[in-house]
Amino acid sequence: MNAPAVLFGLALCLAAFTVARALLAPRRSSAARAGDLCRSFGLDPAQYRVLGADVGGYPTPFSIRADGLIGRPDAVFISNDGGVVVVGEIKSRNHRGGEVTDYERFQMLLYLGTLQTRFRGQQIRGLLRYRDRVVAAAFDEKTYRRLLSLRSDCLRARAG
Amino acid sequence: MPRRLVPISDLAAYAADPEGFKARQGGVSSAKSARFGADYHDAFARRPLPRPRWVWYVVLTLSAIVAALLYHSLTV
Repeated sequence: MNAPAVLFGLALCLAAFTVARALLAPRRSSAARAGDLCRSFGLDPAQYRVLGADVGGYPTPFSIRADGLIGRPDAVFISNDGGVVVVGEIKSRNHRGGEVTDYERFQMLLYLGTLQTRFRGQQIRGLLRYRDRVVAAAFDEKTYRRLLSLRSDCLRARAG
Repeated sequence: MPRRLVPISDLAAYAADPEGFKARQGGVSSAKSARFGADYHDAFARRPLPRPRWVWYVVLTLSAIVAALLYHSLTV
């Protein structure tokens, strides 16, 4: 058996793997991760970019403060022409063709409302990313105003 | 006096279930489900991305070289 030839082959393999890993690591942490986040919400990375995300390890979260509310959506995207803003929320359960819970609906509605205040004149969309599918959320002005009217009650409930 | 800001998650949880929100003393969800949700969010962003196809071509080529070398060393 030609031991030097085998050792040479194995060393070549190891070197190639090390170089490949070193080359790939920086790309995964920035542009590739943003593209992956876009795709996970069914958005085309060529048409949207990430404004901020509050999922583990993402470098820049997006905070919104408007109408007496403060929040940090899981992900906020903007189209390349700046005309469309998309807020995305990640849910750990399966949708299974079922309903969106009241909590999920209200949370998304509040994000949509506050983003409309912040990004006036731009189209605001909401997407709920469940394990098995992505569901679009609709905005309802009347419900949003009703939710805003509960702010003081909520603060009292928090204070106990 | 400046108006106190209300966290969106808190207001949504209160509107969806006021009595439950009070019972949890302002918590959005139970500690167990909150922990699960946090772990899920963390894994969501950190999951490995699919490797570019060229990496597999390199691996395949190198494997073929090693196999050829092994075959050569055993037969010569």
